[in-house]
Amino acid sequence: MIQDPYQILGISKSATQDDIKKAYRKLAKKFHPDLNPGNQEAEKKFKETSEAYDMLETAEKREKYDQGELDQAQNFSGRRQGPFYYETQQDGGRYTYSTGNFENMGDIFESLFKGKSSSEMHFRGEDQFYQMDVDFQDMVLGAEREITLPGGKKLKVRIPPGIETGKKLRFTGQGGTGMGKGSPGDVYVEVRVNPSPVFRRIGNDLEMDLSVSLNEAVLGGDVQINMIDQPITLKIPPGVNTGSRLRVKEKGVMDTARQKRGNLYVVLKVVLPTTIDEELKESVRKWSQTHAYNPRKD
Amino acid sequence: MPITREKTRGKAVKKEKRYSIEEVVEQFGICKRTVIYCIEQEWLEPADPEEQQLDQEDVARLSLICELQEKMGVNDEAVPIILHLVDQIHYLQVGIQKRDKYH
Repeated sequence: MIQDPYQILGISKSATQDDIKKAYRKLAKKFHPDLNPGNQEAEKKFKETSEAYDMLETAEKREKYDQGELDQAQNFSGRRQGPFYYETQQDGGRYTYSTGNFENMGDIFESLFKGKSSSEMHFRGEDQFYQMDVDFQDMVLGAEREITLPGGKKLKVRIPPGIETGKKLRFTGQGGTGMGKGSPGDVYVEVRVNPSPVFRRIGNDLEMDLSVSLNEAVLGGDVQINMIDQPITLKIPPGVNTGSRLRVKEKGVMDTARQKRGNLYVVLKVVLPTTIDEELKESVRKWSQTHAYNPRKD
Repeated sequence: MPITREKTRGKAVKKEKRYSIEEVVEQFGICKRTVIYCIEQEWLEPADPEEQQLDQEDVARLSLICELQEKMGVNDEAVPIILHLVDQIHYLQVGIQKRDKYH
């Protein structure tokens, strides 16, 4: 259904050609997209009014329309070609930078954005981004640390246990000051967890390698390991091998949702003494005479 | 082929295409006298002044001038003032975009 051009232009059917022109000019001034850059609604209205005006522009066209001989599709000869001017200037065009005395525009920006002489302008403060290194230990257990932002502002950062590299902690309202009535921006602190030389993180579990001596491997024994928060005694059962994986319950990363720590897995590596003396050789020789086995059988 | 508005909606408009004054007259229905007058008045600075070649920016600016005069009844005195204000708005918009991007 085609809209009534008289209605679009807000005039009666008895309007004079001059009234039509006046009504159109009024609307064109109001809705021209270059005077309302980026306003889709204005652009739509401008198009509508242009189409409506095109149908009633001359007495001949108007007569045809009034007699039902013309509709918009046939008639709209004045369809605009090419983009609107503002669309060519969106990322800064030749005219944007070269027309007129723009040398002093920098000063205008200064005054606008520093909030001096611009009481009517309200901008939200800028968001600020920082990076923070977190010790592996703090990642496992969680911690509270204070950081100093450039400019001297101090922030208390609560590091939740289990945080991963790349996660951003947000501090609402701690960023740049807003201008006018604009609210302050936020501070984002991106976390980078320092790797541990000892522990590897697998989900909420930790894994570490542990060298054991021949006698510990064969006979078993207690070994002290420096766990992150406290030393623990690991009980090695007799007969472990390189690659054996021992589990220490709930010594991994804290899972805040479950309020439970993951496990620590200790991967063993059997290490022979650096020098194999005659005594060892002799005892193994003796032992192997009656206990030969093939470790490559599988 | 000129780039039509429909194809460029919502995107940065390509500016490479150049038109001679004759092409502008033919493709955009703007009369030659108007084009030359706008250049003489320095409302329009052709992308290639020596060859009198206009780019998409020039054509869009020219269309705006025609619309200001023909559709809105703006006179010669007011045209450069409006253009100057419109250019300043664009300049400020670009400035704000940059500010938001880098802060």
